[in-house]
Amino acid sequence: MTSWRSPAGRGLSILFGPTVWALHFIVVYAAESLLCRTAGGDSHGILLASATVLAIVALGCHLRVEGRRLGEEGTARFLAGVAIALDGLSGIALLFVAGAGLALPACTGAMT
Amino acid sequence: MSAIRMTGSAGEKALPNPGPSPADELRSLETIWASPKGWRIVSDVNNTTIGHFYLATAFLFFLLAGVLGLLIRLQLAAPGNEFLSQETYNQIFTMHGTVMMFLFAVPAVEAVGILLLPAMLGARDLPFPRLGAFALWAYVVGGLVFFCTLFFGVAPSGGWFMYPPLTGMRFSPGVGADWWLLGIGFIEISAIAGAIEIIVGVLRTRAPGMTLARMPILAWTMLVFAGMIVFAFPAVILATILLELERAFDWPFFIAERGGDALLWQHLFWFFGHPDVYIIFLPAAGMVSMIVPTMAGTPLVGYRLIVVALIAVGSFSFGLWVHHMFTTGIPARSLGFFSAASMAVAIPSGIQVFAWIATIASGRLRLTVPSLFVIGFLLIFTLGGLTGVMVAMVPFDRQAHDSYFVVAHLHYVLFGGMVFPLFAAIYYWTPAFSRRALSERLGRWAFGLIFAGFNIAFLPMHITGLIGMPRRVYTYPAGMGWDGLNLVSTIGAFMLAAGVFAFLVDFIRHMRLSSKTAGNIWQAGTLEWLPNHPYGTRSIPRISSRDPLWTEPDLARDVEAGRYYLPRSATGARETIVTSPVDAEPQYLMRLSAPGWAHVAAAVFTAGFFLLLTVKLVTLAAMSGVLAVVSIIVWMWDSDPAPTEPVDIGGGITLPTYASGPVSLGWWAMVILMLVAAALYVSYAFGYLYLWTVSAQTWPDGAALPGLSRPLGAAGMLFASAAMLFGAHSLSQRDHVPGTAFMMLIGFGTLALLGGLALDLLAHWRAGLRPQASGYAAMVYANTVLQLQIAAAVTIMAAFAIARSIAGRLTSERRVVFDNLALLWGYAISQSLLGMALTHGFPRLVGP
Ligand code: HEM
Ligand SMILES: [Cu+2]
Repeated sequence: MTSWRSPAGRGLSILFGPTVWALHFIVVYAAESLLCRTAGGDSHGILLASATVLAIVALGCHLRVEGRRLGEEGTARFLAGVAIALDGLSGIALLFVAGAGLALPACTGAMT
Repeated sequence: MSAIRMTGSAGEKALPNPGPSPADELRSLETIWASPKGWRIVSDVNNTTIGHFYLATAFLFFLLAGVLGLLIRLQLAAPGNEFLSQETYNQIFTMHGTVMMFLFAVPAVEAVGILLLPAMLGARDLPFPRLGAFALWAYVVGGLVFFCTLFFGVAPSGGWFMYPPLTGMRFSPGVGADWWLLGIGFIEISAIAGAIEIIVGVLRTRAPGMTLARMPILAWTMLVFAGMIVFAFPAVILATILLELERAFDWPFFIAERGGDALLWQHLFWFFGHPDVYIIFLPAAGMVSMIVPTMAGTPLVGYRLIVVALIAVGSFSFGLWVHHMFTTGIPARSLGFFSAASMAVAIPSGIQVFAWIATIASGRLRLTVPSLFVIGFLLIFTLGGLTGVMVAMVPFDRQAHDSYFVVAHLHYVLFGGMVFPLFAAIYYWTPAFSRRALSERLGRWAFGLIFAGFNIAFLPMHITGLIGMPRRVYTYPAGMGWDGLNLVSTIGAFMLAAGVFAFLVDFIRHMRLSSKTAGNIWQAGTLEWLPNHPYGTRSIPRISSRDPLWTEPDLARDVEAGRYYLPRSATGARETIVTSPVDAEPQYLMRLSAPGWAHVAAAVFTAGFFLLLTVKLVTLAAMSGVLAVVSIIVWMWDSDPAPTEPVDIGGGITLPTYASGPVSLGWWAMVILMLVAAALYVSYAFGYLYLWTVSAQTWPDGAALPGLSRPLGAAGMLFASAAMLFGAHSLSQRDHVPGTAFMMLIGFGTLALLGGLALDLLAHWRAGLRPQASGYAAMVYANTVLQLQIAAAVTIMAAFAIARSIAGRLTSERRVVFDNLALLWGYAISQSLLGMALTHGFPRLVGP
């Protein structure tokens, strides 16, 4: 009964990176149409930058936790490796998204 | 840092059941697992039978939709052609796309999973055999009826993504769009049923010792595939519900002048539609990852990186949907997000391609027919990926959008990424099921014709598109420079068809299902190549590496001799070993359901309900729906058998035959179902908020909102329902469950849930709100529709639990039926409260 709990938790832990990526994506995308309607474009720039910093910090913390597990044996080690690589890939994808966003002006475009 | 660490217990090995096995063990296994004979095979539930039927049906739809593709090409062969009328052409290309995507591609890969996974994982069958069979028959009946609409000229004609307003009542008054909405919506439910089966199967029925790190890549891809279905399909199901409500009852979700928005459909559709491309592609890539190592004679290079890539692609693909909407006027920065994400997803996709190339390079590739199809896949899919990166760039897409360039791109990705691997897979795995392998000679012809034909047909379309030919036009004038290219495309398409024909000849001549199979002719290393029977393998091996057949030469012999776990039926029923999700250690022995008719009837009547509804035979539809519920109850009555004494499976392992709570597979299935429901509801909440962002002016101000007394009363009833849920739950844990009190709590608790929802509905109604009034009003009532759906399911399950408790089939120990009810009930209460917070709270929050 108790034996499956912690390994299952570790199984889910590999999804940490992609989850952070998804949350960041949703927040910055949804915020654009909301903030442009209410507070204006600059506030979206601030939000984008701070969400990105926050997400990267979260990924970094998780990466450290998983890094310690790399010393373990067998499946635990395998999962730690997967989790770390996913944190890394998610970080790259997240910076891609943030970079593209910061390069372009907020609240402009065809929408009238 | 080596990715491959697969040394198990080397040296001398004690087998779990070393002694000679009694002769009657084998015979009883054979009787218990025997498939019904003759036409009764329809009642069978064994994953091998179901898998074959599933794959055959999917392939039939490939052929049918392929013929439609040929008709399209015939019509376009020459300018000004009058072979097909405009309306017929529209129906044909719509059906071609729809059938290929929904009735061929997704079901085909799901079928491969159902057919191969148990053998690959060392399970006797999938965990819910009747659910799989139900999904199959629903798909067969629903799909065939849907296709036949073409013969009556009433097929949908709005394109495979069915954009309103074209598909709204105003511009599509016919029944075609309804066929699409109800037919496809229904088939998606069947896909979700299959996905639940696959997730639970992969995570919980692996052979002992097959840890996550040792699982075959195809199982990983199937896991990601099924997980993506759980999150992606609800969005399109919601979209179809909304559009059907609009068409049937004039609730204006997508009508701009009444406060709806047609773009909402596009968001919901593509939130499903883009991941769907990967839903189709990932399992196909998984098949390639199985074939390449075998053909190269070496373990897969970068196993762990491939797992990483699969999960990354599966997740990132949910952030791409707007790239189908680049030309709809979304703000520039948002476009940037989606454009960047579209390029970021290419990184993990590239990782997979490099891993295959590295595997090929590190071994020596045998140029068999499966290898040829894999090479064809690599070339074509890579090209499709390149044009994909091109259209991911907004300025380029503005040029190429809705032109034949897109048609070329999507076929390079889909045909290259899914059809080529599927052919490779059929050639590769046929010897595991058939007395003879398929022919290498005919196979080469098939490959050559398909590969050449495909490129001749679709390569020119890049140019046709770039020089301006739009997609979805039934004809074009001469002298635009398109004539020659179109003719070449048509010739290519027929060459491709000749290749498929060569394959069919080969298949009909050589495929002979048999218990004496050609066997492991490729010297592959994974478990599906062990001697396989209707009951799976004779005994269930313990796994200590990724390619067990390579690392343990005696494995096949010992497994077949019954020297591993469970060489018999321990309980006299069909059964499979349930293992822990990460380390695959045995936890309990699950008894599986046997063939039957109730689930078949349930499938037919469920299909009948949706199809009759489409043609507005409401009374008949209602009767069919009631019969469907009755059939489901009959089917479920036998499930959840009573616990027996623990059983010995060999090797000193004794397993219980019953589990409840988080260990049981029923609990897992229910939790996944709740995730599906949650994804549906999140899509709804997105739609609600989205309509506010585009048409805040049609939203009510405070005075028009219902007063708070009724909503608060409704919330009170929901809390009362929750209290009764807790009461019933604590009673259920007593040694002797006090019957009457327990049943009363369930009964009144359900009534309180329904009452709360009714009171909430009344609140809106009394405030004068009517769903036809505006997009806002329609959304408010859509919330009620969704809540009532779940509440109806809770009501039926509650009645079922009460009946089981009267029949003595629900006790403190044998309690899965109640546990599942409790999960869904709790979920329904939370979702209802959330819905009330949204519909009463949000307008107050943003209102004047
Ligand atoms: C058998 C060979 C095939 C041929 C000859 C073919 C041909 C075509 C052509 C010419 C069109 C463009 C129709 C138009 O825009 O007017 C088209 C559209 C399409 N095809 Fe295929 N196709 C084939 C296979 C496939 C496969 C295997 C898939 C998916 C798995 C597929 C999915 C689609 C989709 C989604 C569309 C878009 C339909 C729409 O615009 O609504 N096709 N096909
Ligand atoms: Cu896409």
